[in-house]
Amino acid sequence: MAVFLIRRLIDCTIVLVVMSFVVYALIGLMPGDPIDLMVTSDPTLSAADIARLKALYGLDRPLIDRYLAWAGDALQGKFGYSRLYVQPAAAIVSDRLGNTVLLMGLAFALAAAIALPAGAIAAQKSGRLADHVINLVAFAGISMPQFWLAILAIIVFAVLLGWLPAGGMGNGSIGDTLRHLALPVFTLAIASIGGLLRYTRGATREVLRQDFIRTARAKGLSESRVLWGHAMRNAMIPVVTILALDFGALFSGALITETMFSWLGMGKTIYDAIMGNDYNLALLGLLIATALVLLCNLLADLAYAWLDPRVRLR
Amino acid sequence: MRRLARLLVVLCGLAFAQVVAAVPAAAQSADVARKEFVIGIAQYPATFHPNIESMMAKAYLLGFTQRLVTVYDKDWELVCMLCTELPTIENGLAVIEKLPEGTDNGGAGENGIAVTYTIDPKAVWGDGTPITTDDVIFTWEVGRHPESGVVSGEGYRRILSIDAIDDKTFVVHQDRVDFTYNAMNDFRLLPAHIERAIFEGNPREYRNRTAYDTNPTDPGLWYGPYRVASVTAGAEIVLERNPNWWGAAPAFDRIRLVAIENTAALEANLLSGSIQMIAGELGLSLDQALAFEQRNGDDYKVIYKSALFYEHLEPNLDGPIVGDLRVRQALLHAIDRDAINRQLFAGKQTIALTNVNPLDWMYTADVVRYPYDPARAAALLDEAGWREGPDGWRANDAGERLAFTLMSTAGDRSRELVEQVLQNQWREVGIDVSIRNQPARVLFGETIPQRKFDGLALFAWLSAPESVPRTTMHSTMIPTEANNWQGQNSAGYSSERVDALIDAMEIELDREKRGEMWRELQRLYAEELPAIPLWFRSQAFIMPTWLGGLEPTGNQYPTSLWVETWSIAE
Repeated sequence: MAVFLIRRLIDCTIVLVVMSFVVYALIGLMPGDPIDLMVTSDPTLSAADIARLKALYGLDRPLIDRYLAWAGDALQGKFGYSRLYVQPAAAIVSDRLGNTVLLMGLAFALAAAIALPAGAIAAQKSGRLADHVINLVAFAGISMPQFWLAILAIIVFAVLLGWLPAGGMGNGSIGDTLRHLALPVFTLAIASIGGLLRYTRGATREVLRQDFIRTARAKGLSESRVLWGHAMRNAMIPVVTILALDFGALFSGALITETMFSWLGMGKTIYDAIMGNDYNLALLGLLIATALVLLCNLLADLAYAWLDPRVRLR
Repeated sequence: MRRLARLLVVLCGLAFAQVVAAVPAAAQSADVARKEFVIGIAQYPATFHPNIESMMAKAYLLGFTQRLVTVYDKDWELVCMLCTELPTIENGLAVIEKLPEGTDNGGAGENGIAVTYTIDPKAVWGDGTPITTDDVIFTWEVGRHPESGVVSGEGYRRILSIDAIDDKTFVVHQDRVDFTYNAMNDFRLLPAHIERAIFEGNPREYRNRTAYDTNPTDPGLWYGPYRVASVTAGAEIVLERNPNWWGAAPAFDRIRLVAIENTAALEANLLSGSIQMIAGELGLSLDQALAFEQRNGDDYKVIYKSALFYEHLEPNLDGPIVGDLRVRQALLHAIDRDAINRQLFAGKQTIALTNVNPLDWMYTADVVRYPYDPARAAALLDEAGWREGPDGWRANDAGERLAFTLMSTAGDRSRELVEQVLQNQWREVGIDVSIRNQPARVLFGETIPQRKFDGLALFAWLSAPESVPRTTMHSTMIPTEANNWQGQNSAGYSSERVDALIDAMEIELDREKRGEMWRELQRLYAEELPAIPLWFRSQAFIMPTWLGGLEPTGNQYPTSLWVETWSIAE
């Protein structure tokens, strides 16, 4: 187990180092740098100004030099300043990550709380009315564009009914934050319920056909005990992979939902940083998102061993 | 199952009908707004420092919290804001003087000018510290320092010295005489009593350590009717009354600027009452505003103002097709701009004859016109050697088809619609145009600055009133690899006469003589078509019906600079 963990952590570190260079290079290779973008909003900038600003921001140096300078600082825990927010990039990311954890965590919990049991019930009632209804809801969730759903939610709950705020972060109190979270959490949860539900249904149906389930039924166990006590644990093994990937991806934020509800999360921050050529912020955001995906996959591997004693981690 | 599906369809239909018929929570009452007026903006400022970076969101914020020395007002006239009297040669506050020996002003003549300003005696920073000439000199020192991060350093470098006559009066010695000699619009004062220590401690790191970003609620940074009370980075800025403001008291206790980048969400927030106004400078596009007005016009006041956004088709004049003047003339004759304006923009855009806006004082309509005339367009194309073939497309004698690309910003719905209409209208006269749009950062970061387009590019230039088009029309401003792609003359337009006019008009102080030069420039523009003029874009201001006194300027100086004139109708 310890060897497995050490080996995986080394793998993760290598992936992060490679990713840092790839991301830096990709941003650097995009057309236009921050100063080029400034020129488009201020045509009075002189050639001398442009040359001076490029030198000041280090943009006149080769990409590899800039990357090495960044990597050297990063190893000392200095991730530089965000050009867009004129604050340390680490401070911005830590704030936004907290917001994302809150939003995505709640959305994920809500989606899982609905999708897992609903998927199991659909599998158990396969081909019956309950299965059709659950499938209908799942497909509606999958096929509804998030953008449209968000607008619809704002119009219904904020404009027509006036129950909830249309967007923003609230005043910081728990009650107000929850009120502001309601619509984005609902929108995100609806979007992920469909896929998760379908995976759970498929995996559970597969398990319900297996011999040990027949044996459990032959022993006289109730259907609910068979489903929740025996089938679900086994059905969870493929679902955990999906959950781990989803959960990791959640930390890189949900660009559309965050934009529509003006929620300051990682998705929008990373997007703005890339579009605004904010190297420090984009790099740190993407690296944290990558690290979290890797971590979640590691946790998924550990979960396999817990769910299925036949799995050995070496 | 079918019954269930039918029921769901009915329920969805009912919900949709409710949404379409949504009655806006609308403009909240004036009493609520008197305490806190909430304005939605579609952009959040990157930095609050007045002179680092240049973006409209920051200019809008600073309009509430600072005052410019001079500014172009709603009539596009230069007026004093922080100064007591606009200096002119006529009133003796501006005096032409001989430049000191060895002054390098890039060949702009032997004379400079000394301009005297007096700061309003009542003017103080938000912490009560008087605004003095020390602040003026400190601002200049920061502006001209190569490592301070100030974006546009040219204006500061043109200042040879500043003499402080007393605490409130100072003389600016400039290294050249041009007609903008008395404009200090971009010289935004910095509080020396707060910023000097930070700047002098480490000028290179100043842009990251300025109090404007590390402690923006310090009242001493602000000197407008409002000061910054709290900030949620990326989301909102709360402004409160500045108790040390010396001018007329503004109508609202607090103003909250809420950044909502998605315009559909911005609109929904307005309808829900979360915000009460959408700033015209940073809000809905014209087509969105028109649609909004159609649906909710009774509950809101919508004002449209023609602005200095010159929407045009930039040709790459090195291209064999659009480099031919007859082809450009034909292209313009083949566009029904009036119909496009009527159909897509409810006639709210101002059709452009040249790059000079009709609201600018030197505008003339006495130029060559290109009315919609497909027959004339066809004749011009025939003359240029592009004849219509049996398939309806035009080709030259070598059999090359009259075809080129039209580029613009991907995702800009208005421009994409216009492009489609242009493509259709040009098809009518046998021109094969393919649309190839790019994201804004690619188009403006590489394609246009490096002239990597073979046909036309549809975009807009933002300028100031009476803005001499040096950067966009002078032949020395053609971006090339040799000059490291500097300059905004992406068309590659070159004319000795236009160069001479631009050089001359910049230094001509006599308004009448300058006006004549401007008129000649416009005539040349219309004759030679260095770009194909479309229209000047209008801005839409959506506000509650009870709000008065807000007068859009149409230039780059936002309405927030006159917030103390905004009023609440009883």
